Amino acid sequence: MNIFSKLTLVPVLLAAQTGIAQDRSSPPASRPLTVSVFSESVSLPTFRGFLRKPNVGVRIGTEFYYRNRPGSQLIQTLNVGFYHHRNVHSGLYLNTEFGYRKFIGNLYAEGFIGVGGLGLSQQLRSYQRTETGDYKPASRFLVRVMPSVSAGVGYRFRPQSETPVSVFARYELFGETPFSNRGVPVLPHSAFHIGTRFLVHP
Amino acid sequence: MKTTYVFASLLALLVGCEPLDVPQSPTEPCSPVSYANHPRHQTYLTELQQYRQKSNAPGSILLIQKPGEPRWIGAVGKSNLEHQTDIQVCDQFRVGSITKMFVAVAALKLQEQGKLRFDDRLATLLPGTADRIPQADQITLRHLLSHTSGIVDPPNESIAYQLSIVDDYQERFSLTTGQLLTKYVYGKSLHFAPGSGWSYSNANYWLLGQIIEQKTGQRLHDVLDDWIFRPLGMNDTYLEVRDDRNVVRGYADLYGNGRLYDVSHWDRADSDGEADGGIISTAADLATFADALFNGKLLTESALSEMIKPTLLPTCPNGDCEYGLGVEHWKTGLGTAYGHNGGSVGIEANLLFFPKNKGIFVLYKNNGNGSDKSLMDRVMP
Repeated sequence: MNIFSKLTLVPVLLAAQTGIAQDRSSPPASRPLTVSVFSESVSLPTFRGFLRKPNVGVRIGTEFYYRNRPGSQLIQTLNVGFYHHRNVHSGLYLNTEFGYRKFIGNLYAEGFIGVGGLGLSQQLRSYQRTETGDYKPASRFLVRVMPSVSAGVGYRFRPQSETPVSVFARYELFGETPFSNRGVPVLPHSAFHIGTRFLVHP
Repeated sequence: MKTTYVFASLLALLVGCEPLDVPQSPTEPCSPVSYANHPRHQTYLTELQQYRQKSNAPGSILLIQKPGEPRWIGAVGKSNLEHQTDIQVCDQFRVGSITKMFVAVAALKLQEQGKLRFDDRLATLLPGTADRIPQADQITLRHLLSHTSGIVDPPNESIAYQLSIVDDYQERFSLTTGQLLTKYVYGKSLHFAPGSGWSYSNANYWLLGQIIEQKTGQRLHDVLDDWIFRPLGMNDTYLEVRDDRNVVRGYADLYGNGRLYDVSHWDRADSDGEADGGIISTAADLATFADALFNGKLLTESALSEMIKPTLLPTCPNGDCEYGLGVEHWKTGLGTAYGHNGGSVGIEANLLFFPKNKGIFVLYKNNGNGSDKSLMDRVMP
């Protein structure tokens, strides 16, 4: 079984675990919802230019916990996101991340690695060679694999209440692959997220 | 009403239909020069068609000039896929690093005039580099011309440079040479001590462009216009930034899936107006330049001799770096040829002069991948 197959199975298993946990506790479980807006760029890791000419995106996701202790969490996320890069493409993605969150009081730091699928609607005009050797316009849509790593810091309000809320900032580096220009196999993107996490009660 | 606008905006974002460039009008028809009556027309045309097919290029142009037969130029395929425009033998295209030959000629002309010497130091020629480029007081004019300075090469070595064009080509287009040097060259370590190794660097020619402008008090494009283009009647050649809608467009297979993407705006942002690769020309004009240069009409015999003299260093394979001053040495079936290759994301151009038979070979295609150019061994002897 390759790594991608394993990663695909993780959310399924977690969903099953969550379901069992919910059955054991009598009140229906609430679900964490994470919402962030982000500025994206095609670049190696950098903070330059995020605010000067932002390419805006939004991401919505939820979390499942392998381990949920007062001082730390071992997390799997499931997210859907969209961004629009004014020169290159618009991207719609579905991804999952595995991560660790460490609390120090109400402050926390977190790190994630993830993988997903990225659907692109490209700005660049593209062409496909026909059997006769001519070129005709090609579809502007393309699907790529999207590996990612991210790290962030946050602060939680009312952590012991039924309506805890967190705010966070996160730096994310993700790629689109396969890519094959000048021997570069992954086109890197950077994204700077600002977001909030809260519980949704059914 | 507001809801309609919101949905319409979202839909526009999703389909990403914002056009990147002003649509290209079809190229003007070339002057009616026919090469169909050339005695080897069919042979050359077949070679060109095969080259274009193998290299997955929308269009390609080939010029062959040899003593004993008239000049032949052929063009097959398309110059602009959006408008399905047929490529023409006199279409203008980006020549990439062939530009370095022209810049080297300008520098050698200044040397002939006594305004520059091969052992002039970079720190003296451009005092602003003294504390910004390591060992600028050891780097000479010859080192810059022959790529033996050790200075870094951002267009080929820096992923940050390459991604900056993808991310915001307008910003890259607006950068001056000075800003490029500040951002990507100043403060970077040399690859080796000046003169001790060979490493191709476009930054050497960014600096040479600045040196030429400083010595002449003119913009580089005016210098090339006054000293080379106009005297030789190269009326379809220029360096300055112009509206380029009739220049052949460039394409690249960015994802390795056979699809070609129009990357003309990246190439334009990367090179237009620059001393390392900004010239736009035609096959016929390039042949005119090579003819004049290698037959002694542009430089004195001694300057030309310096230009084509090979750079010999123990650190190069077999001791021969196969480069002179702005001139590449190609080992071919017809002996050593002098000229230059030019390449960028969406184009590849080649200009070669064969001393053995005084032949001239120009080959262009609008796909930036590398290519097998062995056809020269079949068509040039």
